[in-house]
Amino acid sequence: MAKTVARNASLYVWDSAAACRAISGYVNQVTLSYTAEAPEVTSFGDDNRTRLPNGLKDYELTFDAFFSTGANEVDAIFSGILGGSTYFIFSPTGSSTCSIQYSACAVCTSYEMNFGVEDAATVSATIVNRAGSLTRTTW
Amino acid sequence: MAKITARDARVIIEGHDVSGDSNSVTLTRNAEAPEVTCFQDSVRTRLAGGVRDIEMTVDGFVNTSASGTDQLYKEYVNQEVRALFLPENWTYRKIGHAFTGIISNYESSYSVEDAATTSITVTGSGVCFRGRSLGYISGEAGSTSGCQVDVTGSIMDAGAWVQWHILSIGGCDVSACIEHSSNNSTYATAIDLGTVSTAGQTITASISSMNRFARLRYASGSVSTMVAFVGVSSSTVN
Repeated sequence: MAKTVARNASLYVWDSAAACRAISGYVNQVTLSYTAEAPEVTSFGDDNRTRLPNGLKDYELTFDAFFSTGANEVDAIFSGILGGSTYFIFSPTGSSTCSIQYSACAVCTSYEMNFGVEDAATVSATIVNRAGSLTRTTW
Repeated sequence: MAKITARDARVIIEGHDVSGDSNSVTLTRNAEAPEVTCFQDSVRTRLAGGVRDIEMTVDGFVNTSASGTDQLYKEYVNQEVRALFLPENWTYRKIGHAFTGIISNYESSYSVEDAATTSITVTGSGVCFRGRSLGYISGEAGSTSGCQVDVTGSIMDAGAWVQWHILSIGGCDVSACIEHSSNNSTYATAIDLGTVSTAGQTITASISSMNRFARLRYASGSVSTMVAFVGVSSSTVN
């Protein structure tokens, strides 16, 4: 399949009332970082560093968006879920049928708001794993 | 609701409006998510409900006049202050974030080709809440300011918080209370905020139970200016 533009990505976050909220209309950058520990077991005599597979996995989703004070919009959602349980679905190419989606049970650990006289008001947030695993499936 | 430019923001610190000397604000809220990953887990596991924190940095320009930012910030370094940030000005019903914090850093910079600039960091210490402005009030005795603070149409069972910033006093003491109503018709006192005789102060109070609609009732012998802000710490304000 072809490479894809990123402009059609979609992001859904569950608010403090466990309602699904689409925030794509305010988001302009998303990074989903999926990592795994690879414990090093390099020993004397090895030429190259040696590591073990099947280590602990983790993920972090960070995004940048525009600030909005409306009910059920970015500021209300993330002020409410900071430190609390949430769930998200991120779709790199949008949410049409057969499009890929990543989802997981998560917790929001950071919510930052930025305001400058010459700029639009912006926010950024970080979501990390709470329980279970990061699921990749399709709509 | 639309995205917004940031140029109309208001920053109030301990009863002082520093907006006119500020040009950038960053408000950062964090939460701990203690890791409880154990053997047999394939993915890191964390707990929700961890302790939260807040930090606000305000950048601006040095103002050395009496009651200017240089005097204010120097006086309040390592002191507890009440801070209120309103992204869309202090018009009634506008959303904002308020908290109690400590000015942990005051930095001023001077360079031959630039304007003198400042940067302060206010580190959270205690309550932090999101809410709505009850408006910028400038008036004399016996007035009220009508405003809605709407939380899904139900009583704020978790209680509410209020910050009352007294920016100036015309010459006589100012007293105020928060009134609330379930129907925006019949109002009763939710909390008495007391009497203030000196400008440049902030009163913070918690309200154990508050109805949907709120307004500020105040009494002043002469023209005084103030901003009142009501919100909740554990929920969202609609």
